[in-house]
Amino acid sequence: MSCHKVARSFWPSVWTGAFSGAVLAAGLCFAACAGPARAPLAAAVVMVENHSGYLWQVEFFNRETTANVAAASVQLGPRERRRLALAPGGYRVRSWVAGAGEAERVSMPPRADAEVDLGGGRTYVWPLGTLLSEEAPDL
Amino acid sequence: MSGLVLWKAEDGEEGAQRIAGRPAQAFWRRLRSSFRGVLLEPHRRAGDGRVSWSWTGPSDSASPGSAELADLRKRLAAGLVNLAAELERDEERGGGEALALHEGMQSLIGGLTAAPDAELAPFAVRTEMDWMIRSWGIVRPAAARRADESENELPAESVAALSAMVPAPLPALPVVAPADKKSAPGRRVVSWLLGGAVVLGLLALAYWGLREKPLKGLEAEPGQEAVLVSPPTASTAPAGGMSSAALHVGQEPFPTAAAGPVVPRIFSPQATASRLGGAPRSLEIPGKVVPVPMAYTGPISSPPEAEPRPPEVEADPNQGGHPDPVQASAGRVDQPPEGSDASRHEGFAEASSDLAGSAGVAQDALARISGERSVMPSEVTGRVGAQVRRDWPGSDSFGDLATASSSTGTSSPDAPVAVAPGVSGIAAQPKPVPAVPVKTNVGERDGAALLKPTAKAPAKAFRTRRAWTCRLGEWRLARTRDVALATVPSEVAAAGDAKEALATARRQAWEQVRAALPLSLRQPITRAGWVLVFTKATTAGGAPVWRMEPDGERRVQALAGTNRAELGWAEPLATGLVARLLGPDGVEWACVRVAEGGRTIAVHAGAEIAENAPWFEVRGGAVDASGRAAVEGFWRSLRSGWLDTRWQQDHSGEARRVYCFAVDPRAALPVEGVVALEHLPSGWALAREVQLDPSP
Repeated sequence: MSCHKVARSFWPSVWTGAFSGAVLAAGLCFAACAGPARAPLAAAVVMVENHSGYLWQVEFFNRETTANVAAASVQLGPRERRRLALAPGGYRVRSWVAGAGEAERVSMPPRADAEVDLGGGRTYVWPLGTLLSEEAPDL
Repeated sequence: MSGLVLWKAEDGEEGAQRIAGRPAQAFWRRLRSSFRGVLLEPHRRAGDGRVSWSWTGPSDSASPGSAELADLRKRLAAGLVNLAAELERDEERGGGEALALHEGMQSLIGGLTAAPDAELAPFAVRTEMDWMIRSWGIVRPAAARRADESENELPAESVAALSAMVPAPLPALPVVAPADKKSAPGRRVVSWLLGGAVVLGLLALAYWGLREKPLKGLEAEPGQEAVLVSPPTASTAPAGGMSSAALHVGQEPFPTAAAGPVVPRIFSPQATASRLGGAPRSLEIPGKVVPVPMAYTGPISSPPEAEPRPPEVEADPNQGGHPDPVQASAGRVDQPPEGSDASRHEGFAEASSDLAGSAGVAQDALARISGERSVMPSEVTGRVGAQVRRDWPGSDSFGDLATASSSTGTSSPDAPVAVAPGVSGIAAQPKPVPAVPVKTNVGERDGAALLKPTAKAPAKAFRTRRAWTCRLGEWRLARTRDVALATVPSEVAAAGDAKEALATARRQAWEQVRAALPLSLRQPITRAGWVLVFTKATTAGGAPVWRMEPDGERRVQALAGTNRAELGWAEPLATGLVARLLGPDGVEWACVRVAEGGRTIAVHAGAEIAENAPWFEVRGGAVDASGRAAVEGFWRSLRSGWLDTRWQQDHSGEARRVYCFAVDPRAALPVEGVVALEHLPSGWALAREVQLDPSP
């Protein structure tokens, strides 16, 4: 066979293969977007709002893991707001006043840890405040 | 700029303090709220049991000075107090190991605070914000080393382990001979695979490109940078495949009116605000809780001077205290006419019982400070009245002395101790002191010409050296300790839901702290006065005397020793008074004028007075008919400009008194301070503002 004949039969095959591959990839992509693989992309968004004048520290611990390593640990300055994205799941959350010299003046609630379930694609708000952050209510 | 210290604490190892069979660091979750800012947080490694301490601080590891160590000790002690309060609550809920933890921490913290500077210094580390304690619970702290240095110093076993983890070289792939050009099906398969691989490669590139972008819902706003908050770890990676690392995008100031750090100001009385031209931060409405920014000022409000006191207060033998606003708002009963025998007698009896209790505190303090507890001239005891003092200063002898003095009505200038006790005037209608402008030889330059002249006026001129005016604010309840609100992340439907949740938590917290208000601060009985310290101690026979104007004043408790004299009265004082301190030679040493129900005290002192100061006393209010609430707490200054290091506190079971001496008697005036009786476990205090101004 001559080279010309070989080339004439080779390139159509390449294009056919490319088309087939594209169709296959598109199918895979569609399946990836529509199927269970999409779930990891939907993060749980937590808006942490510091309504006080103290420096706060917040920590999220994944309940599914036993290691004492925080999945997220953030410090918030006075009157600061931060946006966190976390993998959906159950968490133990902690918060405390972290400023040196400030922690002595602030009593923490007896139950320091709380457990929350964060759903993917949902937005949560976590307000942080103290008794004297604002005016005393009219009791 | 960072340091890292590693410490190994294994079970049974010598040097690790154990509480209830566990290392002290294992209780960090319960200790954290009490000792945050003082003790560094420990980190325990799961594998080898090491406890590590990490902090960020200056690269030069300077040793702490004595002042820093003293501050650390103070903060450690405060943390222990907070822990005791928290453990007490835990105990109520059935926390079994609270007692063991408290004892263990008491021993641990006690050891740290009692250690000399040289032994405490190795534990102190300078963090970014303040000095803190590391390696607590350990006898000998490990040496600190920089974290970046430790990263390059792998132990030999780790290097060996890493070497073992290096994968072996992959086996050589078999060499495939080029396909025969005649094989058309083979070429077709190759071309199909080639085309598919190209497309898949492009898609893979596109996919990885997409992964570099923020996740859904995390689009960074313009000008903001996505920051990795927590590095992903294998242990925290969820099964879903998404990185567990939390990303926070941007940080923005929270839109509130107040900016900057919150310093819980206790209150800002109207006097200061009006003097400075600002609006008052609080409203004085008796019987109503008035919200005040950053603090809670409670219902400890005495009725205005012009108002008659409610009848239940008059009937209370502990009179002189502030009525409960609820009771104060109850109906009033007509009072007996002023000056009637009945009212005088009744008031006199009340005064005697009141003074009998407080005289012990006053005289004990007076004797202790002056160092002359047993000094009392015998001629005084014999001259003043029929009821001879049994002791000086005895616990109830002053009341007897007061009775005798008042009953006889003697106020002769030659009496070494002139006493004009009694608080019957409290129940009387306010009556201004008549101002009779008569020229006298007493303190004309001090504006004392308005004083009523008497035949007992001092013969010699009053050599005023200094003059002060003290203005006292109203007693108020104040919070000295803030409380963090218990909140959790919650899904909200509307923007205002979070604030509403926070407001609800704050309201609940207020109810809890109000319930924790000590009984002794609910209906306190307060007294105030002035103390004068002499330049030179006088002899027993030459002690000065007090002379009251109007003559025969019975509402004031007056004491004069050989090197110290003081006045005292139950608050509020219905009318003004003038008290002169006369030396043995008739020279006026000092003049104290009290006006506005005891809110204003003007003092003129001569060279004989070295130092003077206001004093305050709080006694527990009546709990029931059986007795009074014991007063707890310590006096302190709530404003940094007024140091309380020289204050002299006198505590007994029922009363807490403080003499607010200045650090430097020649301190520059004015002084604007807040004196408070603080109850540490509850975080409540009874406070009032004090202003000391130089008299014009």
